[in-house]
Amino acid sequence: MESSLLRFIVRHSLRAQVLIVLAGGLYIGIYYLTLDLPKAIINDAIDGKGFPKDFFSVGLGQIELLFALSGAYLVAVLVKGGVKYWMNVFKGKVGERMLRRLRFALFGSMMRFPPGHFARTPPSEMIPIITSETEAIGGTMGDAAIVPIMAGGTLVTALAFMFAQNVYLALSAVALYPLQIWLIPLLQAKVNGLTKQRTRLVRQLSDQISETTGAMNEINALGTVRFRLSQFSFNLLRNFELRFQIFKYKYLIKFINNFIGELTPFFFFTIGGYLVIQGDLTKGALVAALVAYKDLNPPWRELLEFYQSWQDARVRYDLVVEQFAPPGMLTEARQFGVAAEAQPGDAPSDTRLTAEAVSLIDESGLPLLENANVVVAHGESAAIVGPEGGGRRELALTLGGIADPTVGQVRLGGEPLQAISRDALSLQLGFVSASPFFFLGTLHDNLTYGLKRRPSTPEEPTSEQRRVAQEAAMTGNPTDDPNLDWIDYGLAGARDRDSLLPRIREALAASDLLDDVRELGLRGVIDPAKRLDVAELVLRARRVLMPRLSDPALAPYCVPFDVTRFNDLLSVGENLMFGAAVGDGIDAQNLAGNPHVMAVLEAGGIAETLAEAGMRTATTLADIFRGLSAGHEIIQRYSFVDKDELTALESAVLRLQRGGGTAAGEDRAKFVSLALRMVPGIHRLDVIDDDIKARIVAARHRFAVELPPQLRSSIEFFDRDRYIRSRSIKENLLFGKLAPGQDQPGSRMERMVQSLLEETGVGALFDKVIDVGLENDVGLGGSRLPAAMRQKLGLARILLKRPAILVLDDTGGQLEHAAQQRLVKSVLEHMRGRSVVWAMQSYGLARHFQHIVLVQGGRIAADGSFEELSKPGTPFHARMSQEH
Amino acid sequence: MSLQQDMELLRSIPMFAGMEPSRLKLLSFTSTRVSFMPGESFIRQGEVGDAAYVIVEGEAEVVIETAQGESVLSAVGKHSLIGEVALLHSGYRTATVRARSPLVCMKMTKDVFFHLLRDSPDFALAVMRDLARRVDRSTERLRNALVELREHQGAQHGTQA
Repeated sequence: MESSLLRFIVRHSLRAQVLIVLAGGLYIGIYYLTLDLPKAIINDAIDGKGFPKDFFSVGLGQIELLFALSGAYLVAVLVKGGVKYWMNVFKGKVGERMLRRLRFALFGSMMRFPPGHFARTPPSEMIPIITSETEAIGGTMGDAAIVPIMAGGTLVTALAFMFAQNVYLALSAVALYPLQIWLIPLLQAKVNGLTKQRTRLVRQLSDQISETTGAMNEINALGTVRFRLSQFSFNLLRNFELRFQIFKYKYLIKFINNFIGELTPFFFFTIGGYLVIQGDLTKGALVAALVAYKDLNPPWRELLEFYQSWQDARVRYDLVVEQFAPPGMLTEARQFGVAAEAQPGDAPSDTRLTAEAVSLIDESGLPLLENANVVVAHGESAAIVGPEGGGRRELALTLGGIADPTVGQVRLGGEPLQAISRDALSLQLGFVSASPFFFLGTLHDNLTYGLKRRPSTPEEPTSEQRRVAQEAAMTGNPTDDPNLDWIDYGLAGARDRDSLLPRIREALAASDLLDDVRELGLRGVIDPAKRLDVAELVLRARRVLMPRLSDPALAPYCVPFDVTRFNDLLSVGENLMFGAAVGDGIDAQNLAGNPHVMAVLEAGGIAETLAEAGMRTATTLADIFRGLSAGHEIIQRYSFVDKDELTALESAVLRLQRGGGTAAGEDRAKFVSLALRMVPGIHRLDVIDDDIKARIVAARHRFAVELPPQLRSSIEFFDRDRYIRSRSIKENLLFGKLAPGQDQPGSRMERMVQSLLEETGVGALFDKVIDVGLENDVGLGGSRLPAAMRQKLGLARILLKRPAILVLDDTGGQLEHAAQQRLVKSVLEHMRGRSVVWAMQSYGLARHFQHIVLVQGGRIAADGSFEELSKPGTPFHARMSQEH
Repeated sequence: MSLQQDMELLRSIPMFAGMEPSRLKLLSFTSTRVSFMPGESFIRQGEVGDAAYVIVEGEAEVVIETAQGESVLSAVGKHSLIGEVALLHSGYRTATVRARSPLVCMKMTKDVFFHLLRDSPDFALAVMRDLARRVDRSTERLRNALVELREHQGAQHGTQA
């Protein structure tokens, strides 16, 4: 980036600034005219003699001349206003464009930071720099030419005019300028120093804020809230002091400028008046000079103010740029270079990966890896093993092109990794980090993230797209449109979104993720109108499954939705409706608040019993959760009533007990609603007996038949021939619910259902279910996914890119041994014929690799096949026998 | 399938016997009744454990998987508490537990278990006592195994000589 603000402006906006200067010149010219015309109007037209006068070779009388001159004045004012408007708008545009350019350049620089720099530079420092610190610079960049030219020009014009009128008058107007020119830079230098300090302090403040949000658990656990508050408060005090000092200096500057501005007229009136009285100056000239003087002070003040804001922007720019130019920045060619598209028939490249005398030394000079020489042949599988902290990880990072060796070279097919652009390298070599990062979006978005290397070319760009691209080109931004489809389907061996799905499933299978994603899909809710294919398959599968699931031997494991039976895994209310409340017409939390529900219950003679059951439930729940605070995790997780509601219910119970009567009105409805919310098979509160259950089932018919028309869209009945939109795919498939214990991936029931469907030819459903599962959100940074799944997902994402070399850092390390072994085998199988380099904790699993590298103490201690290395007495053998 | 029954059941287990009724009720309410099929493994060695189980009905076997194959360690029946070691120790399951017959268990989760441990010193003490008893039993078994091994070796030496 340019080393100074001036250079940045000149280099990137010279043409625009020249345009502004030209407009400024025009403005000044007209401005001069508007100054001169009043003098002509007064001296020639109003005070003039000897009419008719010759005006542009036309003879004009006094009134005509007055109108002509006034008319000219009007035109000049209009044109002046127009030019000024255009200039200001254009200036704003230039400023905003320069700001965009600056921010983009900073962001681009950030992406070229040397590896490891991020560990030292917290994001909380980068964020205010790119967002708020640049903000103030933006306006100044737009003003850079126009303000000094305009204000300076106006000033010079006004001065020239005054000098033309009278030298003494003019001199008296500028008498105190030298004082300001000497004094203000002195004060401004103080402000600059303080601004620097303040900017750094604000960065510290944002660090402290982000640190606090991250460390809140620690602060709470260690009881250091008071200390933390005091630390933050101290920085706020320093900030206050700096800001106040800056304010004082700035105010002082303003005060001096105003004071001097007001002082000048003293000379002006004295000397001007004296000259008029003496007859050395006409009255018209004095009035014109007065007008000019009125215009003299604002540009001068504007000039001084611009000087201040320019200084401010300059200081900020220096601070920003210094932060974004760490030593060892990666080259643009490496970071932003785009690989040539592969041509059909291209010879398969040599994928031999070699580390030549590689050393990696950390900032403190501590060697993490010393003189490592490794050759991973084309298509070979290699395991890197060794103790934690012994250099295993560092070797994987350098072989993966993530960390650059301090000494030595890693080569891919003879070419140093550093000489290959990221884009080109990522087409050949895939690196899976130990804790992969995920972006906000669905699993599908994240899996295909690695395929997003260039936008698809739109057939005919719209005018809006063209405008966007033009605007981007004007500010050194890329013209790529992020809203286009960026997925390079060919990279995954597919043609489009649909043909990509089987490839995704393959990658998931190789990463041992199919079960997890399938389960996500099974738990998913779909709109059958949008996913007609899924809904139809589910209904077909349901027809296959229903007779099998009605087997009494399965009764403890799966409870079908049966209109003639009470379902213990549904709430009492759902049992009554034999459906789900979906619309706004009925509140599932407060079913008894609905007149129809109450009418059906009263008619069935169960309202009273349910109110009783609700009361007993409230008492029992209050009893169970007594002593736990309202926000207690256990209440939140296990109670179907929150603490506030529970307290309200409990006091209603007390009221009744004191009154000795039965519940009525609102209280009664509350208790009935509570009973209707209960799921007997889960909550087991002994308040819903078989008699109630039977009566609920008996009331179903009336509930459905007498349902008022306005409620029809609010209830979704369980109909064995229809897809239930509000229920998960799994419940739709079974037309029932799995009992706790069976309702988890890998349970017997799930496996049974799966094999049943595969036998009966509805197995294709599972592929669709996986596609539905892929539409799940991963949460911020993948937070909704378990750690083990995140690692496997990071792997699947790379596999989808079909790299010729796969480098893995401890992938699967969080899995239990059997699962890890399964993963190793399936990945090696998937990558057969291509190279795999896997840094892993387990020595035993290394036996599955052709080639093993043992790294300990930063050095390679052994390198060879498992047979060679596992001989007793060797370092590898020693390590392996210590395992377990 | 009722809270009352679950409380009775828990009370019959030494570890929970001395617990206050209100705590017992909380534990019962927050537990889930889970059902497993014969042959189904519901605790798997090496996996992270987040729950302990009390067998309500049926029988299960505890199996240890080794490189040499698996060996059945013991059988557990009605009213046995299983899986609490993983909650207290590393979090990893030390053995696999497999249903022998249709099995119904009460599944209690880690958070409630820990809440009770912190909340009720008597319960904490009972857990410790139970663990001590197990260590004792394991030592006993180890001693017997060692004696057996020595006798076996002795017998071999005898025949060789």
